[in-house]
Amino acid sequence: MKRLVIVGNGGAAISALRAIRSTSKSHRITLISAEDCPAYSPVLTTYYLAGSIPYRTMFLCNRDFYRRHGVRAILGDGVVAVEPQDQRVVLAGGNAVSYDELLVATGSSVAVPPIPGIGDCLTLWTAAEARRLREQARHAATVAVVGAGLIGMQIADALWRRGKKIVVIEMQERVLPRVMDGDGAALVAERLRGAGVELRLGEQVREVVARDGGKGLLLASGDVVEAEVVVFATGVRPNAGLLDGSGVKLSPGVEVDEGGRTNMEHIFAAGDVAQGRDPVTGRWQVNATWTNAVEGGWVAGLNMAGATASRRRCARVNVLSPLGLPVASLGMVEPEVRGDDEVVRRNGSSYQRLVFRRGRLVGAVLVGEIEAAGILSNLIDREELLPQVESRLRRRSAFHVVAGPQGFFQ
Amino acid sequence: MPQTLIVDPARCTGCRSCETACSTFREGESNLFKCRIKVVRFPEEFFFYPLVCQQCETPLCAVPCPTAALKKDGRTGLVEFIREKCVGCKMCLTACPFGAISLVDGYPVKCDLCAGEPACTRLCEPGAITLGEPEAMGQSQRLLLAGKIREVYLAK
Repeated sequence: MKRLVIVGNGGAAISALRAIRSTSKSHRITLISAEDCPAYSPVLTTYYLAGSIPYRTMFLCNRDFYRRHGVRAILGDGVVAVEPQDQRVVLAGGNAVSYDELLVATGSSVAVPPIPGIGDCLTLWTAAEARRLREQARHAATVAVVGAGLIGMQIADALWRRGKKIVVIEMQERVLPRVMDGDGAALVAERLRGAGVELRLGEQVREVVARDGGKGLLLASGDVVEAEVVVFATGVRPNAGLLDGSGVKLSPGVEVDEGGRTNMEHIFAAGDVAQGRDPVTGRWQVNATWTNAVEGGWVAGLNMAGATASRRRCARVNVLSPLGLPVASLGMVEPEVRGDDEVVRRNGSSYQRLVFRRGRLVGAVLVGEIEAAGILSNLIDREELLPQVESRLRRRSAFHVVAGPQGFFQ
Repeated sequence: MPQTLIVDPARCTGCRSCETACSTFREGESNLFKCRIKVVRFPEEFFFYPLVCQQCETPLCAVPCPTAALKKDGRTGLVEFIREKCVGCKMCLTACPFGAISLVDGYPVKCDLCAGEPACTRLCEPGAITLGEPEAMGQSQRLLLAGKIREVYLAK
């Protein structure tokens, strides 16, 4: 019997808990989270914001869940320090909890840029933030969203559905930078503009000023955007502060191997706080996605419990549907080095780009028709040589093999 | 014993009647974009593969689902999709390695064997799709099929 401590209460934490219990009932599990509520999925906060689900539906479980799984849950008291030499964690309230194996699954939070006048700005990531934003946006006519990444797009979508006038401000020249290639991003932008969403691309917010009944955003170009409510969706960063000085390698997420182990013995990490090595680029990167959290948590949980598990997969997979346009982004979305190859297909509002490196599929962007996303992400994970598929695609025959039913009509 | 759709690509002619049957029976219209079964076609090799949910023992589509709208029913053997729980996040689509989940009006749909009487099997003239126990498919038949798929997908 081991003392297993899970810090965090999101997708990775709950998945790890289930993995541990799938192997053994006897380990003593303690779960510690700064948030005083049962586990929920940040994926669902935007659906709550849009009004399509009630607040309680965001939660994966109730408080009884922990008791039923034989877990001691400390909710509402976060871990502030990890002390590997004593194998214990220290809580904000002053208590300490000892561990035999520790999982750090503290997730991420919105990284707000240091803009003058920004103050206590609105963001969307936690359940509390979602509630606050929904409350504040209730009577607003115009909402400004700073950042056109995944979260920014989902906030824009949710509040557009509530009848708000939306202005999106993005530093890059395209929406969904890093997630989409240029052409795919243009299709998304077209859809947004067509629905009346105002896009200010290549623009930076210099200052936030108070305005009568709202805020004014001074942009680098000299323009001013006025809105009753301003939301910052400027990316997320790992909640790794508790590991400062612990000896665990951070850059800035926690570096973990295929089994979720950090460089320190008995310390694991999973989810948004962890970063894996991308099989294609070899770069360490954080994949702040729900799927990645659930999978990483499962593997780490099994290893903590003494089983052996690993995963190669850490390809970036994202899916969203801004204003009803389904979009999937898998792995590397644009050729990066010489010799990378791509096949692009366009058919009405449907668009696909597949990126190959040395005969292997390494990435894809799907817009409109995304039903092949699962097949493609599986092919990316398997790193299988696909000369036949690639040459078929090049000959423009049998595109439907990997890219959906519409190929039939070409 | 739980049953599933047994597909025999050697018999499939690529006529797509199954797709028509599926969308007509389930969506009320003959629409190839609204079916739960899809025929993957390699016309050059004359190889066709009706692709449909495998009712996996450990369904990968259920792993990322944040609302537990997908789950394996141990009794019926079905991977059940509960529409009322689904918010339409589409993460299941990126998880199914078979591409067996379709989107209809922004929400996923998948094969549920039409409550035991699959419409597609009734219209499949060559008998390429039948309802049966997965174990009934012989090992040699399985290897033959795997070899063929490998050939058309991966051959140099």
